[in-house]
Amino acid sequence: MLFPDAPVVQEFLHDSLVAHVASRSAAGRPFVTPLWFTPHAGVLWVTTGLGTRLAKNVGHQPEVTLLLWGERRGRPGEALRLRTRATCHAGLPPWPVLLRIAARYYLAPGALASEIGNVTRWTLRARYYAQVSGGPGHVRLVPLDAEVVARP
Amino acid sequence: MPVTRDVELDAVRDLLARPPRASVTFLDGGGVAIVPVRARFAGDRLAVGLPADGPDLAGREVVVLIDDGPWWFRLRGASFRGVARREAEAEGLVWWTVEPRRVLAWDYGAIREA
Repeated sequence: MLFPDAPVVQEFLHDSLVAHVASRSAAGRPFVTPLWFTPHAGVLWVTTGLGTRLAKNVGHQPEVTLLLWGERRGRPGEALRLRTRATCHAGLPPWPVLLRIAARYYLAPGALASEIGNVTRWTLRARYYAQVSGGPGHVRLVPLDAEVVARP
Repeated sequence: MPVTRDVELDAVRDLLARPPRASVTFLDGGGVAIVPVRARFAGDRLAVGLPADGPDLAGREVVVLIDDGPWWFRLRGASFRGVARREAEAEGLVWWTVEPRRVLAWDYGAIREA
């Protein structure tokens, strides 16, 4: 088992852009969703609606497990399983986190080209987000421990 | 009018053939567990491969998640909720079939009015 500050864990957090986020519902059923996440101040920040399945699940069972893929560096044979303790909060994350999200997912090389190429769809995206269940919120995930696992 | 990124499964069929990221999620004891898998489709039949010393999924409710793309308009994927049944050992893996009870597919690049 690895501590969150272990170099390999930090590398995965830096090199991964999408996490498979697994949680447990109040009814005792498994749930998983792919999400962007942004590390900041020792916490992983995920924006989501307050009425989404993830937000509801966190309210009942705060232990959430992430699978990180290291896709920026290309780690075809391994992934990182990261156990976290999650809390859900109303509203958007604080400005420093929002700026990091913008840099990581909208302005990075590749991201910017994709954004510009889809400029005509920005309005649809804004409408899509306006529909989000329960209004805007975010989940804070505090890493507890991790392990590198093989990808079959 | 609502906006959706949901698509038919056939719209992401190419992704299912070679999924860059594939996992299975299930309950284990009091918590939730997630492991990477190799996924394959024969027609609409979904199977996931795990190492021989991997978890026993027999009869468990599982969710298989397959997806791709880091950037917003390139996020595509599908999830399959069902019960796992052991199929066979091959290629050094134990293969589990999943009879999907619920399938969701999405392509953010295909966002549109519903």
